[in-house]
Amino acid sequence: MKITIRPIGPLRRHLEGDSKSVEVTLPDGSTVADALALIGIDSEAQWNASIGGQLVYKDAEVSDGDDLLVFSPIAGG
Amino acid sequence: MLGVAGKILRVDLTERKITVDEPDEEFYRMYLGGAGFVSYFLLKEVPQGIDALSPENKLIYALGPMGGLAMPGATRACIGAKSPLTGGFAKSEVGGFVPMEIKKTGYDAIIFEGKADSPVYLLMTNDGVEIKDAGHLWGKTVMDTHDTITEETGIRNIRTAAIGAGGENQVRYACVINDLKDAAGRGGLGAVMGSKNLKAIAARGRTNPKVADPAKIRELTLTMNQGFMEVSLFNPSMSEVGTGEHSMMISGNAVGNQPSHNFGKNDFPNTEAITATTTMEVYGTGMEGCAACAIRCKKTVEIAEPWNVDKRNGGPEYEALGSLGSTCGVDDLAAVIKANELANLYSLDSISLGVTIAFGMECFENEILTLEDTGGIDLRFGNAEALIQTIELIAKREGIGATLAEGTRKAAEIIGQGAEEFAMQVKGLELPMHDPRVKQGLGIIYSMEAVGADHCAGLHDTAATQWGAGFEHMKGMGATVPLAADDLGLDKVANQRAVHTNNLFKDSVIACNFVPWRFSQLIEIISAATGWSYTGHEAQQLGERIATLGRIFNLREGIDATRDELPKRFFNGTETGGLSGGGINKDEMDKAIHNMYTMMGWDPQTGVPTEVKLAELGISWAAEELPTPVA
Repeated sequence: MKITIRPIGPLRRHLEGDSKSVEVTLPDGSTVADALALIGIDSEAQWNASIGGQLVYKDAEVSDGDDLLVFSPIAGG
Repeated sequence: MLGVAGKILRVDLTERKITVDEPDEEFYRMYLGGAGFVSYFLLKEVPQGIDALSPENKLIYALGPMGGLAMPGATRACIGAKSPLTGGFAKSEVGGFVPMEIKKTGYDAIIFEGKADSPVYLLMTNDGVEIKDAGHLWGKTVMDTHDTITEETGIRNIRTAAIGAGGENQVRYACVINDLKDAAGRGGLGAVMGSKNLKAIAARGRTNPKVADPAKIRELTLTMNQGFMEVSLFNPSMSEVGTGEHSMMISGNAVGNQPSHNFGKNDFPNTEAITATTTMEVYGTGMEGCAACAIRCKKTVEIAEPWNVDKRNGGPEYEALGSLGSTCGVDDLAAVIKANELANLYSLDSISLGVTIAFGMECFENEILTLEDTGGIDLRFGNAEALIQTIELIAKREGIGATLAEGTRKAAEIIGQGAEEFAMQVKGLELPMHDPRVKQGLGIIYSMEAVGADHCAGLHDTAATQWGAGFEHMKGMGATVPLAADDLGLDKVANQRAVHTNNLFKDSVIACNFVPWRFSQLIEIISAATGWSYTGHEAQQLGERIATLGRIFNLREGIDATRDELPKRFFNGTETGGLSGGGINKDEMDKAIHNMYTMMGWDPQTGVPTEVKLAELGISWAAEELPTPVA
């Protein structure tokens, strides 16, 4: 399956050049952590992720066509 | 004593008399400073049932053992009083430079009592403390007040904590502004100043506090200044644009955390237009910091047209970008920045201000308020001009502003016709810019904390969803396991309780939330400053003590467990966006709140602290203040 990973903010450093997103190919049953590992984001690092507006966590399975946003944790302010 | 001055200033405004309390070392170790002092003096000295805007209320401006030290995040004050907005316990923390100056004049706190028969301000220097006439300052903005005091005292770099029209006119969510742009925002403390005819505190001190172990203080300062970026809970943009940077707001909007249209949509189409990053790109002039802080997270901005904004009044932080921007449906960045400046000039809490105007907008769009009610203002979501016009009316309490100056809870009572459905408040305090449908554990704290919906009082769930450096920080406070943001189980309650009580301790030290001091480092700082062998156990107990005293203050005022509740809106989702999947499960939230009571040592059903718990916390004296006998 193919999904799109869309880092926002500082995590964009994991993409090449000025890209804002990257499409990756994964085997069925892959998780958010598996997807992020492909672009070098450690599953134990600080990040939040969402698909379709819902927060998702590292062990959640991804599906073909998903648009996976990944960003720094939303803290206070 | 070391680390603290050992003196608390008591200012009787009615008699214009100044005295000094000198509590013993046991008192300092038990209550420490800041929020600890506020919780003690409010319960001990403010009579039950008084009008918060009467002379019987007291205003406490308290520092802590870290105050006055040249350390990042150390220049903080906690201000407290009975709240005119909630009728209960109010406290709010603020930075800038004023707290350092007050500490250097030789005092740990100021207690204002009574009411002056004409406007006054308090002048504090190492030459003494004076109550000065402020008749000529009444009616001036915070900035003009500061400039006039600077000119007439001739004291270079004097610092002021002042109110503008909002405080003078006793807008129920008026705040206290330190140094033109830093707000002790929540709960209406500026209205209490106004009710006492107290326009400002002006301070300039020269005496550095004596500490037990200056080498240790220097070592800890160096460690933080060299390493805050590595251990920071925030990304490096804090020093570049402050809170509300692009990715925080865009991602927050994507998952529904950022309120829009009075928390009715949370799917704001033009978030990029109002982020801190855009603010700095378009209108930024630089970054400033509080005294001795290397992070420098405060924006300065300048606009000539269409709204004139003076850079001395600071730029909007995330809360203001959200409350005055997306919550009101406004994506006109210049207008949001102007609204933020007006909030500072008039001393209005930008959170309550924005949420109250958004409440008015929703009433207007539902025809509960009409053009006749608003005096011709088209008070629709997204109308930037209406936003500015309404702020002016609120500060002056004119027209529709007189109703909206009451805050959402009381304004809804005045307006009637079901307006309470649009009042986004807990206990009367308007919700901050973190939606509890996303950060559901924070929703427990919003519900049960004494001051009402306060985003600084709990764990932001999204920052603790997995192991790593961020969770390591929480673990030091007593959090045990990372959890999903919408988890409301027992482990989440335990995490929230740990961070809540830690934050109340931190509000007594007083340390800034934006400087990533670890719990263990704060213990070291207290010990190095005071010479005590201060322990983590004492710190944790202090946090519990403050929460419990605040709880009792509220119970005494009739604010009981039935008021520990979020507005109904949060138990439903939104039509579009990240919250379209639904809202909070009310049964789960109720259970979590009652589990929190149990973990706090309060009665699981009524939330009334037990005598056993009071004894454990060393505050058995507070049992006398409980409305009914405890088991």
